[in-house]
Amino acid sequence: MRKLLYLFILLLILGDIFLFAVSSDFRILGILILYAFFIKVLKLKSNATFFLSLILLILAYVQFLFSNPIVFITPGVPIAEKTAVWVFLFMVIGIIQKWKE
Amino acid sequence: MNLKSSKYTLLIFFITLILFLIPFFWLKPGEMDLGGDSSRLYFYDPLSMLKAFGMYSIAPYGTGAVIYNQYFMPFLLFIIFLKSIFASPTILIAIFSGFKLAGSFIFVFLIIKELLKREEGERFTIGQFLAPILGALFYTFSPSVIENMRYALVTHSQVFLNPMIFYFLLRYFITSSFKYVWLALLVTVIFSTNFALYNPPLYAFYPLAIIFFLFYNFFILKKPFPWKGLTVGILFFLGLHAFHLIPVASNIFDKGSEFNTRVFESKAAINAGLEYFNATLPLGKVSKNILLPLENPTFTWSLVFIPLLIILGFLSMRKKNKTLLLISIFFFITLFLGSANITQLGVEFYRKLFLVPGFGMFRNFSGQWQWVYMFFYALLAGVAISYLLSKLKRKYVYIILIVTIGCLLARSLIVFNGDIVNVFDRGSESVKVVMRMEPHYEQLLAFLKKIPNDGKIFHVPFTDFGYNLVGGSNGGVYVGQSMVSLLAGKNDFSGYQDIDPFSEVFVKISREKNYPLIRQMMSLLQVGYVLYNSDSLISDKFFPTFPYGYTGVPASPSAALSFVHNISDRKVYETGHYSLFEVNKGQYLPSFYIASDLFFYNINRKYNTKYFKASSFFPTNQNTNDDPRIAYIDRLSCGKILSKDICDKDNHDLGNENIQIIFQRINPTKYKVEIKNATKPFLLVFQNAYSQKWRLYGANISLDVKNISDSYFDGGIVELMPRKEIIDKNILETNALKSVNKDTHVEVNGYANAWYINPQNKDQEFIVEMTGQKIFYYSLAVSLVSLLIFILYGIKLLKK
Repeated sequence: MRKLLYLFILLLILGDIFLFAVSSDFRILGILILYAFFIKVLKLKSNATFFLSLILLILAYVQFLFSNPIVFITPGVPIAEKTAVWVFLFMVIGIIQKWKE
Repeated sequence: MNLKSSKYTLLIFFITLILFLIPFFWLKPGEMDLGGDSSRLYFYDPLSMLKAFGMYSIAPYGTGAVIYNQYFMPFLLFIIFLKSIFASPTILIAIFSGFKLAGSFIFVFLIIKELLKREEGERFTIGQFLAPILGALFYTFSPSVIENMRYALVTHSQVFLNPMIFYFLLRYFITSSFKYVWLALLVTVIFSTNFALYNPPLYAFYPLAIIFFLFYNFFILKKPFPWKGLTVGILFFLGLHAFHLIPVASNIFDKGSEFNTRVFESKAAINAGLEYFNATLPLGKVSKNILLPLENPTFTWSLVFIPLLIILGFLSMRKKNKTLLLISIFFFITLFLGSANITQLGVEFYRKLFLVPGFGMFRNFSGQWQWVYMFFYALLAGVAISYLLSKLKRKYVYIILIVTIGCLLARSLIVFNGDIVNVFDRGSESVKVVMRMEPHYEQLLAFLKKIPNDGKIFHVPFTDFGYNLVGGSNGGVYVGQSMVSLLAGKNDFSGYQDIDPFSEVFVKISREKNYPLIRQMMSLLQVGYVLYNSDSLISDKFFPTFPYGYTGVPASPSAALSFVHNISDRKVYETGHYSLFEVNKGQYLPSFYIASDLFFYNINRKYNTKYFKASSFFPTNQNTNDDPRIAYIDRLSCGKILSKDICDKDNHDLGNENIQIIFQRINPTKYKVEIKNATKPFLLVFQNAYSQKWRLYGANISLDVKNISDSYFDGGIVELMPRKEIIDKNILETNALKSVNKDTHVEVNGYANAWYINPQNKDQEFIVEMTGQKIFYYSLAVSLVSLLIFILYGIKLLKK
């Protein structure tokens, strides 16, 4: 059950990363609130959140490797950027969970 | 394994030593890397820079705006001391680069080790021994530390100062021994340049560090907060730094001052900080900040190692570790501040921060927060990875460390082969930044120092920015702030940014090749000399894209020479590539003159910005007289000194041709002036950037008229030889004098000071002084007393 939930959250995030060109706070907040709800109801541990961060970090890294380096010093948005924001958000959630555990 | 293991200590010592020695192989003997936005000319000639730049509250370049550079003084004295030992600027540069690398490593290492020791006690696993090394190397070879070595600003020393002071304060919180605060204070005095009041890195790092200690003390050490010790430390800090803090702080409500603009720009009609932030927002990249790629794309595949190990460290954490969690909070705060682009809500919140007075200094957010971010990132890496390594078998620990450190070093190859500083100049693909000083240029600087009059120097070629280019004897070129101003102490105009408010006017008339108007503009800017550099190495042939092209001044040697001939009179000095031309004496206006004709204008709001300002009156209201002693006054200022009927006219002849002025420069902030034959009201113009801090004092002075440097307009203006005292012997002489004509002090010619004086007597004497300099003298006295107490206190601590 929990594994399916993680997979579901991961798929939502991947959907946000790959299906939408522009970032939206509504989608981000929606997914975060849903995940916070699961944490509260199902007593999810911080390690699971860190594990999701790990997957997202690896994805961001792979995207980074396939990016043109020039995009990091120009105003363009690299494809790794949205994923990196998700890494940030999940790491923050993981830290808050860990502090409370 | 015991913490006191000699092998471990030896390893740390060995790494620190290697890091310190590496920069000694970057430059060949005699070579220097001095250019960039703030330049590093202090390595070449710190004493001259102290005299020209560090002592007086006046910019030694351009029109001489009020600026407080005294925060450079202890730092320059420290370099003078080092130079008296090592002599060579090349060695000094290597020592400071060595400080940066070795200091970054050792202090980040010590902090991580200390934090782990608090958490884990004295018994460490091998992984916990080696993780601080990894964290410290990660910091030392980060882009913030190594990529900013080239064109390094003076504040780049923060790469080792931040960890050093953080470590001393951490030790103080742990041991309660005040000697650590004393050491931290001593470091702040030596590296005073990093503690100037309008220095953004100061506000980026220290408030966060103090908040960190508050939490660390409360949650981890669980000790009472050492208010007493910290209060004493803060008082010492304020006392020791009073000599630069007070003069700048006194400027906070002085409209137009740099500090006032920076603090209150959020209240201005256009919030410049927010505008800049909005423009650069797309450059904030979370992915870049997490992976930290270098410009050189070697070993890019290894960038994921550290963040990956950090997350694995979190995953391997069995029990809650408060230290790690605390560091994480600061890491995420600084990642947010340095990236900005984290959700639209985050960006909106960031924008609101620019409404806080002073926050505008962080407009270049990714640049200003990078060091504090990198610092917490390294601490996070060291502590988190230590948990991961403590769970692994020894052989895996070694494999992970060898691969990670190996990749870290391999991708930082530029540090080892010297390419970190041996780069091409901006705008050139064949000229290196590293240069050897050319003997002819040194001769030129020596000649310029001896020129007894105040005539400002106009550089040809003239750049689009504020840079000056000087070719070296090794084929390298210095691109940075002008050595003529910073080392020879002669105010000069080397580029567009220096000739405000005439910048845009000059672009227009130089493109039109309107030489009469250029000469007239030069009069109003007090240009006495044109310095022509015929070195083809600095021409547009070698710098095709930067820094020439916009202003319209030719940058190829022959065309530039033709330009020089059109704006100057005769050659007065030549050495190597350098020729100094004097302008026509009838065209030159010295520091003080009495305006014979006034031209009135309305301020055009379209042009009311720094570089456009003169477009409101020049060249629209042209002076058709032969006498250049004129003044342009906007009608608003005119209303303060003359009747409305006069101000409404186009111009007004004051008819003061018979008045004689004799003046002498005491130092850049003080002049003595005698006026003779004044029978009716006159306008005394002083060609230095307008500031209310310039005051006129009525005085009884007797100038030695035998000691003449030069005279102009058939003896109408006499300039005496300047005093050669480094410190004015009569610094308090104006205290007993009354400031006069304060209400009739107006701005003329778009930038200069002028006083409209109704003479009481035919002959009058004045002292013209910049009061900000006096504030500096008083503040310096406070600092010297504080220093004495501080040293005595240090001796007492040592005896304990």
